[in-house]
Amino acid sequence: MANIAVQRIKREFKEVVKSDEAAKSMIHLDMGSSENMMELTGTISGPPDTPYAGGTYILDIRIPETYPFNPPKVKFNTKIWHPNISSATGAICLDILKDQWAAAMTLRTVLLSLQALLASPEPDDPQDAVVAKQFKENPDIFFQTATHWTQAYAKGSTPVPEYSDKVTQLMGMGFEEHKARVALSNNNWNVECATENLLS
Amino acid sequence: MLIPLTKISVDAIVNAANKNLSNGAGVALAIAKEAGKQYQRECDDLVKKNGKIAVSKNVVTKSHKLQKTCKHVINAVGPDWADYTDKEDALKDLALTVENVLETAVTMNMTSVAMPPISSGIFGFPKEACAWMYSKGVLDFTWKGSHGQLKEVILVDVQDSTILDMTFQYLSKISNNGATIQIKDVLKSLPKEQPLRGAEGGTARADKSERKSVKASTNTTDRLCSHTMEKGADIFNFRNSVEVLVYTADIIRLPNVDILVTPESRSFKGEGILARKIAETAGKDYTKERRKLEGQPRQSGEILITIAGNLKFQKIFHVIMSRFDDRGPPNDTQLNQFKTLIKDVIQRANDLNVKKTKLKSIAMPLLGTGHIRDQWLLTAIGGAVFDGIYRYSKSAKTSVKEIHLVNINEETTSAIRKIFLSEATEKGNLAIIDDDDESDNSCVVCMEPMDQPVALRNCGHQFCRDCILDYFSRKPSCPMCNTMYGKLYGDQPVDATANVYLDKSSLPGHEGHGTFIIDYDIPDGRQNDQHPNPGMSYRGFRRRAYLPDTEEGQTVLHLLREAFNQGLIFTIGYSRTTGKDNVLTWNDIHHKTRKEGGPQRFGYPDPEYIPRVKEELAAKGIR
Repeated sequence: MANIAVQRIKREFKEVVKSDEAAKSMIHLDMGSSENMMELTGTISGPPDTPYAGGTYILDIRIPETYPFNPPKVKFNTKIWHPNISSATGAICLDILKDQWAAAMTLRTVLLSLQALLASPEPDDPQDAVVAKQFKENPDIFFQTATHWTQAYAKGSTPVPEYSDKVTQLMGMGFEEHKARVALSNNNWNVECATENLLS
Repeated sequence: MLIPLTKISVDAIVNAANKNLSNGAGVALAIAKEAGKQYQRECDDLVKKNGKIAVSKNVVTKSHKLQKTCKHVINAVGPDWADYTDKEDALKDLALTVENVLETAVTMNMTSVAMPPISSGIFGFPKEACAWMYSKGVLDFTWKGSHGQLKEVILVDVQDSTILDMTFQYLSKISNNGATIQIKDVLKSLPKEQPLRGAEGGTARADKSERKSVKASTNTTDRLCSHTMEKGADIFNFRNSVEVLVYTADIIRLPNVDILVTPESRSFKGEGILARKIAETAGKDYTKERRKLEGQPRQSGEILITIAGNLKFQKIFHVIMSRFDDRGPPNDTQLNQFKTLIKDVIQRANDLNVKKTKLKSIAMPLLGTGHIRDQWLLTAIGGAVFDGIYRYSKSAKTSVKEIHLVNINEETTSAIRKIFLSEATEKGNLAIIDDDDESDNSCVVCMEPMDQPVALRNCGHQFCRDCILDYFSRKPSCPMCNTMYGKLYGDQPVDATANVYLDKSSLPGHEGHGTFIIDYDIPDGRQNDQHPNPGMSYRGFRRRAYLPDTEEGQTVLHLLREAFNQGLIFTIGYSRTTGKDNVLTWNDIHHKTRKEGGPQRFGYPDPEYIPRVKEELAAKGIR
């Protein structure tokens, strides 16, 4: 990796470790097993007063050779239900990770921006069209679904019993848990539609 | 469309020919090369049989080796701007040329023709004039009524899109209000011609519309390089000590330049084109002095100085060097030697001035490239010239103040202009900050204390000089605030094409308006050096997008065209839609790929779409 990139990552790593946010354990950065610092793991906690509250989200961060001239490649490793994050791949739609990236930004600001994104979704520029549609048309269902996913995948502690029951119901029919949850979420928790979806 | 004329698929392409159909330059040469010897033979036979072709007329030939592109070539003879004292007649003839081409297409039952900007090359029409007459020819033809099978007229240019953009603007303006174009009005709107500083025989033209001064409002004393347009030449000012003028002209006829530089091979036998021209015109005294130097082999890099005889220069510098190879890119060693050579040549003139001679100006072509037409190669070599001059401009005493980079063909001039412009915007946007001005800030790029700090012209943000130059070479924007400092070029495959059609049906939410259909076609290919994994192959694809034919839609279409020309519509990398890496994908400028279904299905109606895509374009500096 180019010298300037290594230098920067080392400095940025320290910046995150020493930051106030890290002290309050809102964000965390881990070198992981990679020795060349090309691949890092970030962690952010779900912001309070959102369906993600209480959840812990792991992010895969890849530093390109051309860093900081090009943005880091970041995606959610933890599954999440959010209009700007793909529920299937974890890919993120956030302008600063694309053309609005500026070399003045750092891993710390990226992690904080992602946390801010969790608190204020942008449904008009969606990554996941299905989630965005639900967010706009059925905000209550969206909130419950996101809460349910937080509990199921991000160690969240707020249960949504109705949804858990439905997942269990489909699992009883022989469907795999995650697939059942996705089908239900995609179909606004209508069991019939979800089943049809899974069978088609 | 900004693609080579010979690379599209239509019934006929139009050749911007001359009266003899000799096809020796510009578009004609490009077509003749691709269509092969049989095509040239057919042209020659036609002229032998029927005589020269009159201005504004055309003759149709077969396409020969260009069969994949087209069935026919319409060889049209446009007017030569310099032939007319009354420019009104010149304009009339050009519009007529265009109209005649379309008439021919109708007579031959063609459905589509592709046309380059006729007379804009060595025939010297000002760009606006060409664009206006393009528009007039097409409009006059459409008013006439009998269009036969002709459905599609594609205007193409390979070099730059200025004329196409102007034509597009004029046409959309005029066709909306149903008027025709009056030649008298056009004539009035054209910039007055002024002879280029000292260039009698030059073909360089004044083009006032382009006289945008890029000079900043701040003082220029500390700028590394700035650019202005004046009297038909691009002028680059290096550190306020050296001026470089770039234009097209016959170099040996320049009247007010002190030194002419000409390349020679190591045998020093005067074999090059320029050397021969000099020998023909410079006269006895020159030949005599030259003879004294002949007869022994020379070393690369040697500079031999003679008088100029009958030519209006004071001295001629004969530079010993080998020609550039046009079969492959020059290697770094070669380019580095060339940079040094350029610097040495100017420095040598500078040194002569110590001995009371006063040599202030120097003229040279792009040395050793007379046979090269490849833009990319020319640009690479032009870049080395820039660096050479830049190095010279850093030396303490610069008594040679004016460097004329003069070439006989526009391709070379345009390559030099392009590379100089891009280098100048890069260097020209920086102001050196006084080193005493101890700012204990660190540079946000490297996060180290600032080394050789410089400030950006418009936003004032400061960085290490090397950091910002490195950053600019990837993206010409401020690393702090993303203020744009030049054009952004993307890594869209170069063989991508885009075609636009106008369809009568309306899009949901835009009832009563037609629809622009944009067809993108990107063939399979391999990643190149600009891409993340050079050498790896990728799958091409075709994509179709829709835009309403409203005023806003037209604006966006225009911007999309610019984005496409700057290679920004597609990229190769990670697709967020499919989750795959190393694939061809859209590049953050959203397109509506369906007519219906609303935003969730990438279709209309979506009132937010137009403003959103404008924002996305603006983020890439296109507005």
